[in-house]
Amino acid sequence: MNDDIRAGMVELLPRLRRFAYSLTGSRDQADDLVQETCARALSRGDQYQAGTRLDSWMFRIAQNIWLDRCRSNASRGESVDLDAQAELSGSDGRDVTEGRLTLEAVTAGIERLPPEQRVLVGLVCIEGLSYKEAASVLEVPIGTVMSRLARARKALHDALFAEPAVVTPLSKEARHGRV
Amino acid sequence: MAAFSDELLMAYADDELDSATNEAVAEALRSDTELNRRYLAFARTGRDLGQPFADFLNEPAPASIVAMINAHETKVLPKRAPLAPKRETWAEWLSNQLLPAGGMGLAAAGYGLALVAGIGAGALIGGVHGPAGDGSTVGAGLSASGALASALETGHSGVARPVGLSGQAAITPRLTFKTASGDFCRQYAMTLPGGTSEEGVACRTHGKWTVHAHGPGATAAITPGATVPAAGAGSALVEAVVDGLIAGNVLTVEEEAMALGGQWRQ
Repeated sequence: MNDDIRAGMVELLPRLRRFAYSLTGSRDQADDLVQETCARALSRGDQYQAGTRLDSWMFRIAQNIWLDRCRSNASRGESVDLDAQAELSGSDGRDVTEGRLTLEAVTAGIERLPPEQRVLVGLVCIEGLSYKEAASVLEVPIGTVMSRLARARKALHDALFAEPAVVTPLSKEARHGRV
Repeated sequence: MAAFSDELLMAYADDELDSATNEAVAEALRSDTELNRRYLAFARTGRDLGQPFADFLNEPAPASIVAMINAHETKVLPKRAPLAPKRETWAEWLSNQLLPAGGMGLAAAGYGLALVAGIGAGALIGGVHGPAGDGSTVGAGLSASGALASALETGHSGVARPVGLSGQAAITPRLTFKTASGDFCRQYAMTLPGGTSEEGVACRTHGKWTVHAHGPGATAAITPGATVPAAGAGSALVEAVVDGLIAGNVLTVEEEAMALGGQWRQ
């Protein structure tokens, strides 16, 4: 692993922490996940292919570690069934102030999603990756990304917005959630 | 009415459609309230969800993580020598050789160590001396002494050695390997009164054991009032350090016994 890649890793840390927080919902756990991600990346630097995106590689390592951790916890009865769709009552995650969602509200909503869906929300909605980029990170077809993400977004919407949906045609601004 | 799937509506909300499909969806939304109702779920949960997370981009990264990356930059750890076509990793060896034996070193062999704080057990056991005050724990060139040096010098892997009069603390060498330059290295674990643990890796050079990584275990307090849960970060860090040092296989029990009997002559 050359110096440029290591410098790139340091530069990537803020985004990696943001992604890790979207998965874990805790700053301590996010930093812990980032540290383990970097340690694993450093130990496996020979697996990084020059010319590919460093962020995609690091995100892939992070989500693999986190999903493994979730599965490990689940096997010890400490977490939810990964295959079960989370029950979203729509109450706890709702915290809207003047049309803007707070960090706590979004985090609470994401936390109630199944782990694989959380990863996608983190990559696309929080990190802003395209569907194609997310598919590259997860090494799954883009169709899988879209179907999984659509389910996650519907559940997340139910969790965050309890009021009846607006049923009038939307303005351009509404397209971007500013409603 | 044309059938618009949830995926299509979501892609429209995320600006992921080609222009022709985009216009078709937009046209339908202008007159179809039911479609708008479905679309709203995706419009409200798009990339704007990232806005509340923006502060993370302005926060400095944890110094311990930057230090870990930079520690590799300093090239304190030698490059791994070319390996045989297939070697057992140290973690695999640990699982195969030590886990069946039971013993106190084994609980700490799992994931869950977070090596981000300074050296704690060194003060308690009198084991590690060096510039540890800055919390740097990787490649710091700390020298082992006292009980730690004794355990590394004469202890067999997997055998816990009680430390102190109370017998509540112990040091357990876990495995032994050689570097590309032929130095012997040992990974070890410490258990401390109160159930906390620490672990590290040290190499023997010119008759002295030098610690290359050391830190608190899963239940050790990292900051006052906060306890880091078992999560695997430290174990991965130790793995990274060992992977950087090791050349060839971990010593077998017989090879280790020969090295111990020969006072670590190379």
